[in-house]
Amino acid sequence: MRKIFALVCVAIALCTYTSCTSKKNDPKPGIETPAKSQLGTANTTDHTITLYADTPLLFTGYNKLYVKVQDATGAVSSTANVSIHPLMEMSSMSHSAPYEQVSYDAATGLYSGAAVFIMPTADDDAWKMEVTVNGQKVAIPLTVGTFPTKVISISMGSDNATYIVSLLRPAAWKVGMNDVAFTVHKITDMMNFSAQDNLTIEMTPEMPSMGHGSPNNINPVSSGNGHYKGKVNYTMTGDWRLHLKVSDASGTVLLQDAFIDILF
Amino acid sequence: MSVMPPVVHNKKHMRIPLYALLLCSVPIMVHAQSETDSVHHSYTLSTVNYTILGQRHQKNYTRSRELQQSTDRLLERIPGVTMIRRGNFAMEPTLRGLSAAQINMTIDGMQLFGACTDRMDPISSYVEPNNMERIQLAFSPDGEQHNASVGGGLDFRLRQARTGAKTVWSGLVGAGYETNASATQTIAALQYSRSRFAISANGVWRRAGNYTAGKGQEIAFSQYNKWNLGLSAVYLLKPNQQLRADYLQDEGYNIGYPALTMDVSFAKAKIGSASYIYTPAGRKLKSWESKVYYNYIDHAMDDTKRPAWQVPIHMDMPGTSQTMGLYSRAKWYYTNHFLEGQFTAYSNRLHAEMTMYPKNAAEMFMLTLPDVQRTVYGIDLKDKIYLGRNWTLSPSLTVNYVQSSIYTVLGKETLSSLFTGSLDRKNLIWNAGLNAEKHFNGGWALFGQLSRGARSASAQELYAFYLFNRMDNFDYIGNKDLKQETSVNASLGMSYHSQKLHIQPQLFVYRFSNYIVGQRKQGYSTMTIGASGVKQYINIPDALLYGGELYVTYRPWDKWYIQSTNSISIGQDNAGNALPLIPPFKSINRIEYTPSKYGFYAESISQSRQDRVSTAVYGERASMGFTIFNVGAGRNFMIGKNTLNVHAAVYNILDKQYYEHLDILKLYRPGRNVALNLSLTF
Repeated sequence: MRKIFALVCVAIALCTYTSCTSKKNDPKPGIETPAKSQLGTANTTDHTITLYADTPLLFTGYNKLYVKVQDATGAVSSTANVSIHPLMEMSSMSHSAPYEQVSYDAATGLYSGAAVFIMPTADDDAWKMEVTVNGQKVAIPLTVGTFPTKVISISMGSDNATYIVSLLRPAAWKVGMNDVAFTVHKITDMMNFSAQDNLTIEMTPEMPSMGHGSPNNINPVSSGNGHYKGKVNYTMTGDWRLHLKVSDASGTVLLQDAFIDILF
Repeated sequence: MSVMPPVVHNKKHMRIPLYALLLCSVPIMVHAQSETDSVHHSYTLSTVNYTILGQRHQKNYTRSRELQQSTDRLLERIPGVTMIRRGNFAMEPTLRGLSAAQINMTIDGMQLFGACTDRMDPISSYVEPNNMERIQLAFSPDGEQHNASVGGGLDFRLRQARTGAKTVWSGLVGAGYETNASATQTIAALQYSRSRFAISANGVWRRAGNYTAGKGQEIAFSQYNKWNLGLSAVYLLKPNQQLRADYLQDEGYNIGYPALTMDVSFAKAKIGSASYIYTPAGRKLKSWESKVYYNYIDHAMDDTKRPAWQVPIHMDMPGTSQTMGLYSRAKWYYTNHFLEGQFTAYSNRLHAEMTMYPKNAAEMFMLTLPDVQRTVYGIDLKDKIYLGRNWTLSPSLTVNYVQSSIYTVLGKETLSSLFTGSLDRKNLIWNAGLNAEKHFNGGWALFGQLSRGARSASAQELYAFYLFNRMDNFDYIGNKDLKQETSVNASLGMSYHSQKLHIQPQLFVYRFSNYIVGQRKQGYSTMTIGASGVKQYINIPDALLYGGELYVTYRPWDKWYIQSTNSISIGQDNAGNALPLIPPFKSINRIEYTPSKYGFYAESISQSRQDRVSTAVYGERASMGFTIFNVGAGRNFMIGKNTLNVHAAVYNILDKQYYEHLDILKLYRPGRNVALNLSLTF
């Protein structure tokens, strides 16, 4: 009798303990992992040209682009003279976009550059990338989608010029402190865009659905070639808006609030 | 030092019935009493005497009614204990104005930590009088305490199954009803006892609706529902060696917290332990007890029952706490020394998160307590030296090594919002104390105590991530660079004891260094909608807490008994600002008349107004004083060998609108309340 009681007691204790497993706390998923995706290919007389991006889809805003140049034997060329030029052809006109000319990267064997697509592909409005290799030009059609959140801001500055501020989207955001980078370009004309350095950017993150911000952010500072790097602090997942107040070197405010929206 | 130590020796003449009765409310406690008796002689000084007194002054008219009370109601009658109230459930004990991490709350020596970031679930809310044998209290970090702290602590000793009881089966059933809040309590206890084996079970079921404050004001969201089950088994390997297993499960549901912005959908604790106890007879080694334990607390806040205007954004805020640990404790005699040594180790993990669901936007998720792990190793040494017949001297030393860290990547990422560098903390903490007690002829005694206490900053103080504090309406963030808080405290008391009269005054002072408080942090935006700002925990150079207690009992005639309990605390920081949550003068006066089989009592509870507040610094407002009156009567009926106890009481008979100073938001406490309790002991 006693032993039975003892056993029952132990059994109860064990059952209860094993039921006390803690809940796993899965972190919220990021957007995607980097793996280069082929966008299209074209041939010149000497070379096969393949265009890659970090994601299968291109989106409005800043996109890294990679060009692989292969000769007839399939060997990757590192010495070709390669350049890119994005172009959108609309029914009545055409225009380009801010872009960063490609240069050869020995680590990947690719010519890498970037483009800031200022609008998405539409019915009659098609993007293409002109790639010139050793003087021979080919065009690779591109499809540019709209990113789910506003990662590019195109707005008129106080100097009546139009500025394009674009977020360099990271592979994934995480809770807490993140590196953040932007590009700033000024529209000169439909075909020419100039990278703007030495501006002052004051960045204020906000969660629009709650109205609060976050502490310890580091304002993006100019790192050349129109790029600005800083740190942004996400205290939680959800909707964030990065308010960017852009001033020129003399302290004149060019853009009062060029905001970028984040969701993760 | 304890409230009124030397009195313990005269327990024949003294009692504090409310707590004492816990001991003797059921027949199965008989064995327990003799054991606590010997314990009592071993270390009187810092034990709270009411935990062990009254065994022979069992007052049958109250009896098992006390078991139907909530732990909160028992605690708030102890001099020096004041409760922080956030609703009608789970009040948080403070000792002389010290609370949270400054005091150390344990259940049967086991470490537990509440899972709620808003302090909705103090440990005392997971243990019921029906589970307990006694409440052991210490106001200083030495004495009965086995862990480092600055202000002593509470240990809720569980009632355990006893072998060799007079009857094989024994138990009780009881039920109570209170008109205010339509509260019901149902309790039961059962024990099966043989010579070498015993098992016992006890349970409580409570429910209450919204209570009504004085003058008919209903306090919305003050309901609660809970049940609690305690199981205990003991098996004697040999007469002096026993194996024990204890299990406690406590689950609360749908609990309203009218003083807070959220309620609780559930608060569940599972608390288990296994022990081996060796008690050699007639040797120098008196006892050696080793215990392993594990507990898991699961808590979820809820705002779904609140009206829409109170809920700008619906959110879920669950939290968990799990602790595993062990201790091994030995006591032995050596000439005129009574020595005690203990090794303890435990590890606690806290996780608390928040998910917000805004309308027309993505949900938001964050950790509010970012997966904190704390591991503590401790050694504890005490000695009690008997110097002649009237002198005792008790030195003690406690050393704790505390490691704090973050155990998930998400937790570390979250804290990258606030901190750079390593998040890990390591603290070596030591406490030391000396108690002295001297008895004089003619019933006089003097006792004094001097100790040094320290504590590491709590998980919340180190790593809180925007925890909202309703009292000052600020969001709090942690500070991983906090230094440990230390105190030097002293107390001095005397007692006079005669046949009819007992008087015991005591004065105390705590001087803190690196006292931890919240300080406004500029440039941080609040997380909580409507909060006034963000505060971060910091060390202030010093703080002072002082005050006293006066305890008087008087027996003018046979069967008449008068008792007066008075206490006051005064606290100020280094800049002279009054510290928050410090109770003002409180006085409980009680008169009892106990003709045979019957018992009657009347009592008043008074608190003076508290003007000593620093609204600008700590966000606390002054509060009004009050006096309320309670009366009660009871009677026992013998039914064969069984006892039926009937008890009726009226609390707050004048239906006064009142609150205590520590009540958050100063919500009124319950108005007039008529309670009827029945219980049958067999």
